[in-house]
Amino acid sequence: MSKSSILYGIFCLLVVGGFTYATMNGFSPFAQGGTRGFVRTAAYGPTHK
Amino acid sequence: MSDAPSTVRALSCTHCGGTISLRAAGYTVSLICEHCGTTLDATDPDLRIIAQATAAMRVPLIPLGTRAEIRGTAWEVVGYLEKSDGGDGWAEYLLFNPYQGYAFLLDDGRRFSIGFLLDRLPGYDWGALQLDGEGYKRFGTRYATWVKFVVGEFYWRVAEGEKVRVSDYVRPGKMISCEENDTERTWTRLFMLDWGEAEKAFGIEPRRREYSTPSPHEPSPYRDKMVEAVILGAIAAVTLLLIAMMGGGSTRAASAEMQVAIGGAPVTQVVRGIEFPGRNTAVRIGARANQLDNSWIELDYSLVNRRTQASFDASSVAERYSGRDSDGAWSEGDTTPNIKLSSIPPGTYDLVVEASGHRWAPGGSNNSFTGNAGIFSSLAVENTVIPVEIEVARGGMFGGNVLLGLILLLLWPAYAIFRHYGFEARRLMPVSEDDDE
Repeated sequence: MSKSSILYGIFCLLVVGGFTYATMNGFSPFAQGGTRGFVRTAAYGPTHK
Repeated sequence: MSDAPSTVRALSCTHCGGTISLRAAGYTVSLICEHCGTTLDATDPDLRIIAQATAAMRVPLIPLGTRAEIRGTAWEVVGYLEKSDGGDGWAEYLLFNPYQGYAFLLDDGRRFSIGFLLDRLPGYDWGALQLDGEGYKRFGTRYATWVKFVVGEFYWRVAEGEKVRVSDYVRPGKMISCEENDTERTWTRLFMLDWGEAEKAFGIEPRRREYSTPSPHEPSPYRDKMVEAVILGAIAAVTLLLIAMMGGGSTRAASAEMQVAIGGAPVTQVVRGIEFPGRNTAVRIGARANQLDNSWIELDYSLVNRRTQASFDASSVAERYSGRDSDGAWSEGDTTPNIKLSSIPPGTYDLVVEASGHRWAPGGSNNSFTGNAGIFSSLAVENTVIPVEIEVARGGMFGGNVLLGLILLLLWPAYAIFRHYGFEARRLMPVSEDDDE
Protein backbone atom coordinates (compact mmCIF):
# COMPACT_ATOMS: atom_id res chain seq x y z
CA MET A 1 0.00 0.00 0.00
CA SER A 2 1.35 3.39 -0.94
CA LYS A 3 2.18 6.14 1.53
CA SER A 4 -0.64 8.31 0.22
CA SER A 5 -3.12 5.47 0.73
CA ILE A 6 -1.94 4.98 4.31
CA LEU A 7 -2.40 8.70 4.95
CA TYR A 8 -5.81 8.57 3.32
CA GLY A 9 -6.74 5.58 5.50
CA ILE A 10 -5.81 7.59 8.59
CA PHE A 11 -7.85 10.50 7.26
CA CYS A 12 -10.84 8.15 6.78
CA LEU A 13 -10.52 6.99 10.37
CA LEU A 14 -10.51 10.59 11.55
CA VAL A 15 -13.57 11.50 9.49
CA VAL A 16 -15.56 8.42 10.52
CA GLY A 17 -14.43 8.90 14.13
CA GLY A 18 -15.43 12.54 14.07
CA PHE A 19 -18.77 11.70 12.52
CA THR A 20 -19.39 9.02 15.15
CA TYR A 21 -18.51 11.43 17.95
CA ALA A 22 -20.81 14.09 16.47
CA THR A 23 -23.62 11.55 16.11
CA MET A 24 -23.25 10.36 19.69
CA ASN A 25 -23.33 13.94 20.99
CA GLY A 26 -25.98 15.24 18.61
CA PHE A 27 -23.57 17.81 17.26
CA SER A 28 -23.78 19.48 13.88
CA PRO A 29 -22.40 22.71 12.50
CA PHE A 30 -25.51 22.86 10.34
CA ALA A 31 -28.00 23.06 13.23
CA GLN A 32 -30.29 26.08 13.45
CA GLY A 33 -29.42 26.51 17.09
CA GLY A 34 -27.89 24.94 20.16
CA THR A 35 -24.19 24.53 20.71
CA ARG A 36 -22.10 25.98 17.89
CA GLY A 37 -24.83 26.00 15.31
CA PHE A 38 -24.22 28.73 12.76
CA VAL A 39 -26.84 28.22 10.08
CA ARG A 40 -29.91 30.33 10.71
CA THR A 41 -32.90 30.99 8.52
CA ALA A 42 -35.25 33.92 8.98
CA ALA A 43 -37.10 34.51 5.75
CA TYR A 44 -40.80 34.57 5.09
CA GLY A 45 -43.16 35.51 2.30
CA PRO A 46 -43.76 33.76 -1.02
CA THR A 47 -40.95 33.45 -3.54
CA HIS A 48 -43.36 32.74 -6.37
CA LYS A 49 -42.80 34.95 -9.43
CA MET B 1 21.71 -19.18 -33.10
CA SER B 2 21.12 -20.19 -29.50
CA ASP B 3 24.23 -22.28 -29.02
CA ALA B 4 26.81 -20.02 -30.61
CA PRO B 5 29.19 -18.32 -28.16
CA SER B 6 29.90 -14.60 -28.35
CA THR B 7 33.17 -13.83 -30.01
CA VAL B 8 34.54 -10.35 -30.58
CA ARG B 9 36.73 -10.00 -33.63
CA ALA B 10 38.83 -6.89 -34.26
CA LEU B 11 38.67 -5.70 -37.86
CA SER B 12 39.94 -2.70 -39.78
CA CYS B 13 37.54 -0.42 -41.56
CA THR B 14 38.04 -0.72 -45.30
CA HIS B 15 37.43 3.00 -45.66
CA CYS B 16 39.20 4.75 -42.76
CA GLY B 17 41.39 1.99 -41.37
CA GLY B 18 40.05 2.40 -37.86
CA THR B 19 39.71 -0.62 -35.63
CA ILE B 20 36.18 -1.90 -35.36
CA SER B 21 34.76 -4.80 -33.39
CA LEU B 22 32.58 -7.55 -34.75
CA ARG B 23 30.68 -8.79 -31.73
CA ALA B 24 28.10 -11.10 -33.27
CA ALA B 25 30.24 -12.77 -35.86
CA GLY B 26 28.27 -15.21 -37.93
CA TYR B 27 24.99 -13.28 -37.47
CA THR B 28 25.96 -9.76 -38.45
CA VAL B 29 25.18 -8.74 -42.00
CA SER B 30 25.91 -5.01 -41.90
CA LEU B 31 28.74 -3.40 -40.00
CA ILE B 32 28.82 0.37 -39.65
CA CYS B 33 32.21 1.79 -38.71
CA GLU B 34 31.98 3.76 -35.49
CA HIS B 35 34.79 6.06 -36.65
CA CYS B 36 33.71 7.08 -40.14
CA GLY B 37 30.18 5.72 -40.42
CA THR B 38 30.90 3.68 -43.54
CA THR B 39 28.60 0.70 -43.96
CA LEU B 40 30.53 -2.51 -44.56
CA ASP B 41 29.39 -5.92 -45.72
CA ALA B 42 30.14 -8.17 -42.75
CA THR B 43 29.46 -11.27 -44.82
CA ASP B 44 32.34 -10.38 -47.16
CA PRO B 45 35.81 -11.39 -45.87
CA ASP B 46 37.16 -8.20 -47.44
CA LEU B 47 34.53 -6.02 -45.70
CA ARG B 48 33.22 -4.57 -48.93
CA ILE B 49 31.96 -1.02 -48.62
CA ILE B 50 28.20 -0.88 -49.04
CA ALA B 51 27.64 2.82 -48.44
CA GLN B 52 29.55 5.88 -47.39
CA ALA B 53 28.44 7.81 -44.35
CA THR B 54 26.09 10.69 -45.00
CA ALA B 55 25.48 11.86 -41.43
CA ALA B 56 27.95 13.28 -38.96
CA MET B 57 29.16 10.72 -36.44
CA ARG B 58 27.51 10.73 -33.05
CA VAL B 59 28.29 8.83 -29.88
CA PRO B 60 25.32 6.88 -28.50
CA LEU B 61 24.28 7.54 -24.93
CA ILE B 62 25.04 3.88 -24.25
CA PRO B 63 28.34 3.09 -25.99
CA LEU B 64 28.62 0.10 -28.29
CA GLY B 65 29.99 -2.91 -26.47
CA THR B 66 28.35 -2.01 -23.16
CA ARG B 67 27.10 -5.06 -21.35
CA ALA B 68 24.22 -5.15 -18.91
CA GLU B 69 21.82 -7.56 -17.33
CA ILE B 70 18.19 -6.78 -17.85
CA ARG B 71 15.55 -8.92 -16.17
CA GLY B 72 17.91 -11.85 -15.77
CA THR B 73 19.50 -11.84 -19.22
CA ALA B 74 22.92 -10.45 -20.06
CA TRP B 75 22.94 -8.26 -23.17
CA GLU B 76 25.64 -6.48 -25.14
CA VAL B 77 24.98 -3.37 -27.18
CA VAL B 78 26.05 -4.13 -30.75
CA GLY B 79 24.18 -1.54 -32.80
CA TYR B 80 22.59 1.86 -32.52
CA LEU B 81 19.90 3.49 -34.67
CA GLU B 82 18.19 6.83 -34.59
CA LYS B 83 14.76 6.87 -36.16
CA SER B 84 12.20 9.51 -36.92
CA ASP B 85 8.59 9.73 -37.97
CA GLY B 86 8.82 13.45 -38.59
CA GLY B 87 8.65 14.33 -34.90
CA ASP B 88 11.34 14.29 -32.26
CA GLY B 89 12.40 10.75 -33.10
CA TRP B 90 13.78 8.05 -30.85
CA ALA B 91 16.80 5.78 -30.46
CA GLU B 92 17.02 2.03 -30.80
CA TYR B 93 19.88 -0.08 -29.48
CA LEU B 94 20.38 -3.53 -30.90
CA LEU B 95 21.24 -5.91 -28.06
CA PHE B 96 22.82 -9.30 -28.54
CA ASN B 97 23.10 -12.39 -26.40
CA PRO B 98 24.63 -15.47 -28.00
CA TYR B 99 22.05 -17.73 -26.35
CA GLN B 100 18.98 -15.50 -26.56
CA GLY B 101 19.60 -13.81 -29.89
CA TYR B 102 18.68 -10.17 -30.46
CA ALA B 103 16.62 -7.65 -28.60
CA PHE B 104 15.92 -3.96 -29.05
CA LEU B 105 16.27 -1.31 -26.39
CA LEU B 106 14.08 1.65 -27.29
CA ASP B 107 14.76 5.05 -25.83
CA ASP B 108 12.02 7.62 -26.47
CA GLY B 109 13.86 10.27 -24.50
CA ARG B 110 11.84 9.65 -21.34
CA ARG B 111 11.71 5.93 -20.78
CA PHE B 112 13.26 2.72 -22.04
CA SER B 113 11.49 -0.34 -23.42
CA ILE B 114 12.95 -3.68 -24.37
CA GLY B 115 11.57 -5.39 -27.47
CA PHE B 116 11.73 -8.89 -28.89
CA LEU B 117 10.81 -10.07 -32.35
CA LEU B 118 7.72 -12.25 -32.36
CA ASP B 119 8.04 -15.69 -33.87
CA ARG B 120 4.27 -16.00 -34.34
CA LEU B 121 1.47 -13.86 -35.60
CA PRO B 122 -0.84 -12.22 -33.07
CA GLY B 123 -4.57 -12.78 -33.45
CA TYR B 124 -7.28 -10.16 -33.86
CA ASP B 125 -10.49 -10.34 -31.90
CA TRP B 126 -12.89 -8.05 -30.04
CA GLY B 127 -11.52 -5.07 -31.92
CA ALA B 128 -8.02 -5.59 -30.57
CA LEU B 129 -4.85 -7.52 -31.30
CA GLN B 130 -4.61 -10.64 -29.15
CA LEU B 131 -1.40 -12.21 -27.91
CA ASP B 132 -0.94 -14.60 -24.98
CA GLY B 133 -4.46 -13.87 -23.82
CA GLU B 134 -3.95 -10.13 -23.71
CA GLY B 135 -5.62 -7.51 -25.88
CA TYR B 136 -3.73 -4.63 -27.49
CA LYS B 137 -5.62 -1.54 -28.68
CA ARG B 138 -4.69 0.12 -31.91
CA PHE B 139 -2.76 3.31 -31.29
CA GLY B 140 -3.06 6.01 -33.92
CA THR B 141 -2.73 5.24 -37.59
CA ARG B 142 -0.03 3.58 -39.62
CA TYR B 143 2.93 5.93 -40.03
CA ALA B 144 6.22 6.00 -41.88
CA THR B 145 9.58 5.98 -40.13
CA TRP B 146 13.09 6.22 -41.48
CA VAL B 147 16.61 5.72 -40.18
CA LYS B 148 18.38 9.01 -39.46
CA PHE B 149 21.62 7.64 -38.12
CA VAL B 150 23.13 4.21 -37.66
CA VAL B 151 26.32 2.77 -36.22
CA GLY B 152 27.42 -0.71 -35.14
CA GLU B 153 26.48 -4.09 -36.50
CA PHE B 154 23.12 -5.47 -37.55
CA TYR B 155 21.62 -8.71 -38.70
CA TRP B 156 19.96 -7.01 -41.64
CA ARG B 157 21.17 -4.62 -44.27
CA VAL B 158 20.44 -1.36 -42.56
CA ALA B 159 21.27 2.01 -44.01
CA GLU B 160 20.47 5.64 -43.33
CA GLY B 161 17.20 6.59 -44.95
CA GLU B 162 15.78 3.07 -44.72
CA LYS B 163 12.02 3.42 -44.49
CA VAL B 164 9.35 1.22 -42.98
CA ARG B 165 5.66 1.67 -42.22
CA VAL B 166 4.71 1.09 -38.59
CA SER B 167 1.47 0.20 -36.84
CA ASP B 168 1.37 0.18 -33.05
CA TYR B 169 -0.94 -1.68 -30.68
CA VAL B 170 -0.74 -0.90 -27.01
CA ARG B 171 -1.80 -1.92 -23.55
CA PRO B 172 -0.41 -0.57 -20.28
CA GLY B 173 3.21 -1.67 -20.04
CA LYS B 174 3.39 -3.38 -23.44
CA MET B 175 3.28 -2.60 -27.13
CA ILE B 176 3.19 -4.68 -30.28
CA SER B 177 4.76 -2.89 -33.21
CA CYS B 178 4.31 -4.07 -36.78
CA GLU B 179 6.95 -2.86 -39.25
CA GLU B 180 6.38 -3.32 -42.96
CA ASN B 181 8.28 -2.59 -46.11
CA ASP B 182 7.80 -3.84 -49.65
CA THR B 183 9.26 -7.26 -48.95
CA GLU B 184 8.52 -8.20 -45.35
CA ARG B 185 6.51 -7.57 -42.24
CA THR B 186 7.92 -8.04 -38.74
CA TRP B 187 6.20 -7.98 -35.36
CA THR B 188 7.95 -6.85 -32.22
CA ARG B 189 6.63 -6.91 -28.66
CA LEU B 190 7.96 -4.21 -26.37
CA PHE B 191 7.96 -4.25 -22.59
CA MET B 192 8.33 -0.91 -20.86
CA LEU B 193 11.11 -1.00 -18.26
CA ASP B 194 10.64 0.51 -14.83
CA TRP B 195 11.93 4.00 -14.14
CA GLY B 196 15.71 3.79 -13.72
CA GLU B 197 15.93 0.10 -14.62
CA ALA B 198 17.83 0.55 -17.88
CA GLU B 199 19.81 3.48 -16.51
CA LYS B 200 21.00 1.40 -13.58
CA ALA B 201 21.79 -1.62 -15.78
CA PHE B 202 23.79 0.38 -18.33
CA GLY B 203 25.33 2.79 -15.85
CA ILE B 204 23.87 5.99 -17.21
CA GLU B 205 22.29 8.97 -15.46
CA PRO B 206 18.80 8.20 -14.11
CA ARG B 207 16.01 10.27 -15.58
CA ARG B 208 13.57 12.43 -13.71
CA ARG B 209 10.09 11.04 -13.43
CA GLU B 210 7.46 13.10 -15.17
CA TYR B 211 4.12 12.11 -16.65
CA SER B 212 3.00 15.09 -18.72
CA THR B 213 3.54 13.33 -22.06
CA PRO B 214 3.27 9.59 -21.42
CA SER B 215 4.30 6.97 -23.93
CA PRO B 216 1.38 5.14 -25.55
CA HIS B 217 2.17 1.93 -23.67
CA GLU B 218 3.13 3.55 -20.39
CA PRO B 219 1.30 2.07 -17.40
CA SER B 220 -0.55 4.62 -15.32
CA PRO B 221 1.39 5.47 -12.16
CA TYR B 222 -1.92 6.46 -10.56
CA ARG B 223 -3.84 3.22 -11.11
CA ASP B 224 -2.79 1.41 -7.93
CA LYS B 225 -3.36 4.51 -5.82
CA MET B 226 -6.78 4.95 -7.42
CA VAL B 227 -7.79 1.35 -6.66
CA GLU B 228 -6.59 1.66 -3.07
CA ALA B 229 -8.34 5.01 -2.63
CA VAL B 230 -11.63 3.71 -4.05
CA ILE B 231 -11.57 0.61 -1.82
CA LEU B 232 -10.69 2.60 1.31
CA GLY B 233 -13.21 5.32 0.45
CA ALA B 234 -16.00 2.79 -0.17
CA ILE B 235 -15.33 1.01 3.13
CA ALA B 236 -15.27 4.31 5.02
CA ALA B 237 -18.42 5.62 3.28
CA VAL B 238 -20.38 2.43 4.00
CA THR B 239 -19.22 2.54 7.63
CA LEU B 240 -20.32 6.16 7.91
CA LEU B 241 -23.75 5.37 6.43
CA LEU B 242 -24.21 2.43 8.80
CA ILE B 243 -23.38 4.66 11.77
CA ALA B 244 -25.83 7.25 10.41
CA MET B 245 -28.57 4.61 10.14
CA MET B 246 -27.93 3.32 13.65
CA GLY B 247 -27.88 6.80 15.16
CA GLY B 248 -30.72 8.21 13.08
CA GLY B 249 -33.67 7.51 15.42
CA SER B 250 -35.35 10.19 17.52
CA THR B 251 -37.56 10.05 20.60
CA ARG B 252 -40.51 12.30 21.28
CA ALA B 253 -39.87 14.28 24.46
CA ALA B 254 -42.84 16.66 24.72
CA SER B 255 -45.68 18.23 22.80
CA ALA B 256 -48.18 21.09 23.20
CA GLU B 257 -50.78 23.03 21.26
CA MET B 258 -51.15 26.80 21.18
CA GLN B 259 -53.62 29.14 19.51
CA VAL B 260 -52.21 31.95 17.39
CA ALA B 261 -54.35 34.78 16.10
CA ILE B 262 -53.47 35.98 12.61
CA GLY B 263 -52.88 39.69 12.89
CA GLY B 264 -53.28 39.50 16.64
CA ALA B 265 -50.87 40.01 19.52
CA PRO B 266 -47.95 37.63 19.97
CA VAL B 267 -48.68 34.57 22.05
CA THR B 268 -46.27 32.96 24.48
CA GLN B 269 -46.51 29.41 25.75
CA VAL B 270 -44.14 27.42 27.91
CA VAL B 271 -43.73 23.68 27.55
CA ARG B 272 -42.42 22.59 30.93
CA GLY B 273 -40.34 19.74 32.24
CA ILE B 274 -38.71 18.36 29.10
CA GLU B 275 -36.22 15.69 30.10
CA PHE B 276 -33.05 15.01 28.13
CA PRO B 277 -31.31 12.18 29.99
CA GLY B 278 -27.84 10.76 29.35
CA ARG B 279 -25.38 12.60 27.19
CA ASN B 280 -25.54 15.63 24.91
CA THR B 281 -28.19 15.23 22.27
CA ALA B 282 -29.65 16.80 19.18
CA VAL B 283 -33.10 18.31 19.68
CA ARG B 284 -35.72 18.78 17.01
CA ILE B 285 -38.55 21.27 17.53
CA GLY B 286 -41.35 20.89 15.04
CA ALA B 287 -44.47 22.99 14.47
CA ARG B 288 -47.64 22.09 12.63
CA ALA B 289 -50.08 24.80 11.47
CA ASN B 290 -52.09 23.15 8.72
CA GLN B 291 -54.86 25.76 8.68
CA LEU B 292 -52.64 28.59 7.46
CA ASP B 293 -53.73 30.33 4.27
CA ASN B 294 -51.91 33.31 2.80
CA SER B 295 -50.42 33.97 6.19
CA TRP B 296 -47.42 33.09 8.26
CA ILE B 297 -46.56 32.52 11.87
CA GLU B 298 -43.19 33.49 13.27
CA LEU B 299 -42.04 31.08 15.92
CA ASP B 300 -39.27 31.97 18.36
CA TYR B 301 -38.04 29.19 20.60
CA SER B 302 -35.98 29.38 23.75
CA LEU B 303 -34.99 26.08 25.30
CA VAL B 304 -33.99 26.93 28.87
CA ASN B 305 -32.09 24.61 31.17
CA ARG B 306 -33.76 24.73 34.58
CA ARG B 307 -30.57 24.17 36.51
CA THR B 308 -28.14 26.38 34.65
CA GLN B 309 -30.63 28.77 33.02
CA ALA B 310 -28.68 28.37 29.82
CA SER B 311 -30.89 29.24 26.90
CA PHE B 312 -30.69 27.79 23.42
CA ASP B 313 -32.57 29.94 20.95
CA ALA B 314 -33.84 29.34 17.45
CA SER B 315 -36.63 30.50 15.22
CA SER B 316 -38.70 29.27 12.31
CA VAL B 317 -41.64 30.28 10.19
CA ALA B 318 -44.77 28.31 9.37
CA GLU B 319 -46.30 29.71 6.20
CA ARG B 320 -48.69 29.04 3.41
CA TYR B 321 -49.42 31.16 0.35
CA SER B 322 -51.51 30.51 -2.73
CA GLY B 323 -52.92 32.41 -5.64
CA ARG B 324 -53.52 32.41 -9.35
CA ASP B 325 -51.61 34.01 -12.15
CA SER B 326 -51.27 33.66 -15.91
CA ASP B 327 -49.82 30.15 -15.43
CA GLY B 328 -52.74 29.06 -13.29
CA ALA B 329 -53.04 28.27 -9.60
CA TRP B 330 -49.95 28.21 -7.42
CA SER B 331 -49.16 27.58 -3.80
CA GLU B 332 -46.08 27.45 -1.65
CA GLY B 333 -44.89 27.50 1.93
CA ASP B 334 -44.19 24.99 4.67
CA THR B 335 -46.83 24.65 7.38
CA THR B 336 -44.75 22.11 9.33
CA PRO B 337 -41.31 23.67 9.84
CA ASN B 338 -38.69 21.84 11.86
CA ILE B 339 -35.55 23.22 13.43
CA LYS B 340 -32.76 21.30 15.04
CA LEU B 341 -30.58 22.26 17.96
CA SER B 342 -27.08 20.90 18.20
CA SER B 343 -25.55 19.13 21.17
CA ILE B 344 -27.94 20.10 23.94
CA PRO B 345 -26.55 19.07 27.36
CA PRO B 346 -28.59 16.59 29.44
CA GLY B 347 -31.02 18.02 31.98
CA THR B 348 -34.55 19.27 32.46
CA TYR B 349 -35.67 22.06 30.17
CA ASP B 350 -38.54 24.42 29.59
CA LEU B 351 -39.35 25.43 26.08
CA VAL B 352 -40.60 28.99 25.68
CA VAL B 353 -42.45 29.48 22.42
CA GLU B 354 -43.39 32.94 21.23
CA ALA B 355 -45.61 33.01 18.17
CA SER B 356 -47.05 35.88 16.15
CA GLY B 357 -49.39 35.45 13.19
CA HIS B 358 -49.35 37.69 10.10
CA ARG B 359 -51.56 38.01 7.09
CA TRP B 360 -50.01 38.27 3.67
CA ALA B 361 -51.94 40.82 1.60
CA PRO B 362 -51.13 40.21 -2.05
CA GLY B 363 -53.24 43.20 -3.19
CA GLY B 364 -51.16 45.53 -1.04
CA SER B 365 -47.86 44.60 -2.52
CA ASN B 366 -46.52 45.67 -5.85
CA ASN B 367 -47.00 42.42 -7.72
CA SER B 368 -49.42 40.72 -10.06
CA PHE B 369 -50.65 38.02 -7.71
CA THR B 370 -54.32 37.54 -7.11
CA GLY B 371 -54.77 35.94 -3.72
CA ASN B 372 -57.68 33.75 -2.75
CA ALA B 373 -58.98 36.31 -0.34
CA GLY B 374 -60.26 39.71 -1.36
CA ILE B 375 -60.40 42.77 0.88
CA PHE B 376 -63.58 41.74 2.63
CA SER B 377 -62.46 38.25 3.30
CA SER B 378 -59.13 39.71 4.41
CA LEU B 379 -60.93 41.72 7.06
CA ALA B 380 -62.86 38.63 7.98
CA VAL B 381 -59.73 36.62 8.72
CA GLU B 382 -58.03 39.30 10.79
CA ASN B 383 -59.11 37.50 13.90
CA THR B 384 -58.68 34.00 12.57
CA VAL B 385 -57.07 31.77 15.19
CA ILE B 386 -54.81 29.06 13.97
CA PRO B 387 -53.99 26.07 16.15
CA VAL B 388 -50.28 25.29 16.19
CA GLU B 389 -48.96 21.96 17.46
CA ILE B 390 -45.47 22.02 18.91
CA GLU B 391 -43.44 18.84 19.24
CA VAL B 392 -40.03 18.38 20.85
CA ALA B 393 -37.92 15.27 20.09
CA ARG B 394 -34.40 14.30 21.07
CA GLY B 395 -31.86 12.42 18.99
CA GLY B 396 -31.91 12.05 15.23
CA MET B 397 -29.39 12.51 12.48
CA PHE B 398 -28.21 15.69 10.82
CA GLY B 399 -28.28 15.22 7.05
CA GLY B 400 -25.62 17.91 6.71
CA ASN B 401 -23.22 15.84 8.81
CA VAL B 402 -23.71 12.80 6.57
CA LEU B 403 -23.25 14.86 3.44
CA LEU B 404 -20.15 16.61 4.78
CA GLY B 405 -18.64 13.28 5.86
CA LEU B 406 -19.26 11.68 2.48
CA ILE B 407 -17.80 14.66 0.63
CA LEU B 408 -14.66 14.59 2.79
CA LEU B 409 -14.27 10.84 2.33
CA LEU B 410 -14.76 10.87 -1.42
CA LEU B 411 -12.55 13.85 -2.28
CA TRP B 412 -9.35 11.83 -2.48
CA PRO B 413 -10.82 8.89 -4.48
CA ALA B 414 -12.37 11.40 -6.88
CA TYR B 415 -9.00 13.11 -7.30
CA ALA B 416 -7.25 9.75 -7.79
CA ILE B 417 -9.81 8.72 -10.43
CA PHE B 418 -9.42 12.07 -12.17
CA ARG B 419 -5.62 11.73 -12.25
CA HIS B 420 -5.69 8.14 -13.52
CA TYR B 421 -8.15 8.74 -16.32
CA GLY B 422 -6.46 12.02 -17.18
CA PHE B 423 -3.24 10.08 -17.63
CA GLU B 424 -4.99 7.43 -19.73
CA ALA B 425 -6.54 10.13 -21.91
CA ARG B 426 -3.13 11.69 -22.51
CA ARG B 427 -1.60 8.27 -23.17
CA LEU B 428 -4.12 7.42 -25.86
CA MET B 429 -4.72 10.93 -27.14
CA PRO B 430 -3.79 10.50 -30.83
CA VAL B 431 -5.94 7.39 -31.28
CA SER B 432 -7.80 7.19 -34.56
CA GLU B 433 -9.93 4.25 -35.62
CA ASP B 434 -9.89 5.25 -39.30
CA ASP B 435 -7.01 3.01 -40.22
CA ASP B 436 -8.06 -0.12 -38.34
CA GLU B 437 -7.48 -3.30 -40.26
